[in-house]
Amino acid sequence: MAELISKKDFYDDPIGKDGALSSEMEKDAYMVFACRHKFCREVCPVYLQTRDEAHTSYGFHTSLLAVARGLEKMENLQETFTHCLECGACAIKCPNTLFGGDFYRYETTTPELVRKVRRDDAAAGRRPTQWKAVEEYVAQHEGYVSDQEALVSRWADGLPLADTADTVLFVDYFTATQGTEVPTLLVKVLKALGVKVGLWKTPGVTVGEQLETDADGWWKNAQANADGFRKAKIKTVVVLNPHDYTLMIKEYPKKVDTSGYQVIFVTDYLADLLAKRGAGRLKPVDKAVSYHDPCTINKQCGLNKSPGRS
Amino acid sequence: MAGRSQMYTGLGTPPEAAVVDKAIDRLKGAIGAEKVVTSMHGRAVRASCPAPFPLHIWEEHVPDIVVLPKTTEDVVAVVRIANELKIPIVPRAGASDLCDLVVPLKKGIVLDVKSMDQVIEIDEENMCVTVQPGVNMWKLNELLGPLGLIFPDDPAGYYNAAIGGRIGAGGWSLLGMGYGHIHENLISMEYVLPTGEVVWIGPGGGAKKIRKSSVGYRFKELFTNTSGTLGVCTQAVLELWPKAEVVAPAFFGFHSFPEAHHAADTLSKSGLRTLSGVFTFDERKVEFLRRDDEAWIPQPREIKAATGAVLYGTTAEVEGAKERMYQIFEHCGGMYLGNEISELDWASRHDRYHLAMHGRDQSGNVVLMSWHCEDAGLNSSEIVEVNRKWNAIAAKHLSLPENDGIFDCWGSFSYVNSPLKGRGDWLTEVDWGIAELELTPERWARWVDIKREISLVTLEHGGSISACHGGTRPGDVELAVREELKEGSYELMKKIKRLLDPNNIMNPNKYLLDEAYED
Ligand SMILES: Cc1cc2nc3c(=O)[nH]c(=O)nc-3n(C[C@H](O)[C@H](O)[C@H](O)COP(=O)(O)OP(=O)(O)OC[C@H]3O[C@@H](n4cnc5c(N)ncnc54)[C@H](O)[C@@H]3O)c2cc1C
Ligand code: SF4
Repeated sequence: MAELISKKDFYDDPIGKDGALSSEMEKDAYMVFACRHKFCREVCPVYLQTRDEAHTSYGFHTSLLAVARGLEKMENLQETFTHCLECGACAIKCPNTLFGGDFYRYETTTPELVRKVRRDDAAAGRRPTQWKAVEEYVAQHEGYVSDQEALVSRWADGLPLADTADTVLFVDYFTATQGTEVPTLLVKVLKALGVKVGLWKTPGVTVGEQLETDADGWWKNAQANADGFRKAKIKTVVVLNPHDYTLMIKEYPKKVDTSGYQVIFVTDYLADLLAKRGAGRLKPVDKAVSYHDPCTINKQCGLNKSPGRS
Repeated sequence: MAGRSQMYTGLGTPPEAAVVDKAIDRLKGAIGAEKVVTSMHGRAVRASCPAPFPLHIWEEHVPDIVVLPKTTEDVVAVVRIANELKIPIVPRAGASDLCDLVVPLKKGIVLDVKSMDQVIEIDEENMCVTVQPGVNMWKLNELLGPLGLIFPDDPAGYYNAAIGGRIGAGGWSLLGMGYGHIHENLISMEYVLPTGEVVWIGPGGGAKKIRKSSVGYRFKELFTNTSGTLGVCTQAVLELWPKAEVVAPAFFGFHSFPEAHHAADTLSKSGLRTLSGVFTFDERKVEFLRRDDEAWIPQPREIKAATGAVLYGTTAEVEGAKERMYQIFEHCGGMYLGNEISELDWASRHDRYHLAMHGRDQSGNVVLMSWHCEDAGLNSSEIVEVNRKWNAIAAKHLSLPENDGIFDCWGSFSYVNSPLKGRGDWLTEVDWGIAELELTPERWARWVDIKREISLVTLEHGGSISACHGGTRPGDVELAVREELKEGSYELMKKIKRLLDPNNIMNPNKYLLDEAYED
């Protein structure tokens, strides 16, 4: 895995109730304001819809700088900060990342910034309109995991997956219910390669929305996942959802003991296997195939060598 | 107004609170509340452009209201209300201008045209496209590419600028030598005048897609490059070109800037029709790039300056021209820098721009700085001497202890300036860094003095103080109107401004045009 740049631990310090920004936060906001090239704009899926400059990486950073400079108050920013999908497209297009990131080990990290502001808002008891809908969404999926364990592994019925193994697949509720093609195909490929893996049947909630609304609950789930892997003596956790993977490698190490097991994204895992063992009984296909890496792997984790390898 | 800075001369009084409130109500009623922004941060993010901004007086430039029109009718409604209430309007497109063109000098309404983003018609047969002013060139070319066409306006700010701002700023294109700049690629346009009338402006005549007509006056010249002071462009018919089959860039190193300039100038006048851009990097720029640019750090130390050129055209044309281009560079003492740097540096021409970390104090420590680009139009005969004087200005000011860590000089690029051919006419820019977070009124004043010194050199050498950005910043605006435009142009500008904008609502006091109303 590529070394992660600019972890920005200062995002963990909540912005005070009085809205005062630390000097690190002010400089971080200034870095994007200083550029003002706004290359972040036409790449942003939200801006492409709203055409509102405030709903962009430049807009978020500049609004925060306005708070730091006493022009604006944190409590007025909530609605604006709902306009982000945390995709990371802007962060990678920003000259700070593109031309300075590697050299200075400092990059623009809009999704983390947005998450931080939302988290701080939630902690300060501030809720934008429509927030109820987000909370309901998280609660619904919490329900899936705690009450309906079977649902999370139903996709694997009849597939050759052990209950425990050195290597387990971490298939979250979303992938298990709405994105079953990838895990199903993966299991078939593994079978053809003669590789035995298990399925982790109690994946604790990983969704970023919970980290924003109910950080304590999210960290409890993170702890439970990590403890669970260790207790079951799992060595490798193969993660299928790129958002889970991003959070597991970028957020977990901040507060959770992640020793004893390694986390690997599914394409890296497959690529490693194929490199080590060859294609086995897999049949070659005489077709040109293109592969699109999930954007977060590149944009948020810095894994940008084909296919998503460090 | 108490505490108002001396940033601009002739600054008038911003609108009264009661007028602003009335305007908000009227605007909401006329174009819909969802298109009227009043939050402080929604307005604060629209106070500046990428030119160094006096952060210490940010509040003074925060507009009172932002409107987000979608149609010509919306724009007309806003202009009519502003006229009635005598409240300023500042048009804002990509907001990437480098000359404070979109900075509201007297607050008022920012008219942000980004939601006017429709491509109205692509006319392949007549090789033109009709767009609203909020369309960005990159996005437009994404649509045109599959048709084998391009809109060739290619500024370094390609990803952020929009058509309205290109027309408003009268911009210059990196491919201008081959394809022309925005002016050559604008056929005609719809314009809302400061009093709210809608007119169609072409190269003479009323036909929208005819490039040359002898009917009527040629208003197109007048209404491009007006910095939003004469109204709002609401539609534009633009030229389309066939997409080049081949793009061939080449970069050569030289022992000194004069050598690099000689090679570039020789090539630019060679008559090669596919030559679409020629440019140079001076010694300070190459040193600057060696600070943190992975492509330039490993270049041998004997490379002190560089020249690049790019050919666009059919395979047959470019292959022949390439050989000739290499011969000319080599004959002038150039050392080929390799395919990788040639292709990648050209490919990253829109991206490689400035980031705050480039700034250094005199001991070489990183200081966060913002980019200032001072560009000038200069004849070939003057370039080397102007470059020497600009470097001397940098050396003098940077050696002063009070400027250490506040200013930095990042060297100079030059490019062929004349559209469609090389004619010994260059755009030269010198880039500076400014520690905006550390600005105080004194430091800002020192900065304005430095800028003035740089522009004075340009004027001494018979140049124009800006080939692409405009002359409306403190430090250049006085020189622009009192020196460069002194032979009658400025007087004419004032007459036209007053005639078309009787209430002085359109981007007031850019080019000190409040003076037009002083009697
Ligand atoms: C990284 C970078 C590189 C750059 N490189 C170049 C370059 O190579 N060449 C170049 O020419 N410039 C360059 N610029 C400057 C800038 O991109 C140009 O000035 C561009 O034309 C501005 O377009 P915009 O859409 O951002 O306009 P804005 O900054 O929004 O506006 C520019 C002017 O046009 C007026 N205006 C906006 N919309 C309208 C309208 N609809 N009707 C009437 N007036 C209007 C505004 O009031 C303002 O006066 C660069 C800027 C950056 C940040
Ligand atoms: S992270 Fe994605 S959605 Fe959010 S501001 Fe950046 S580009 Fe837009």
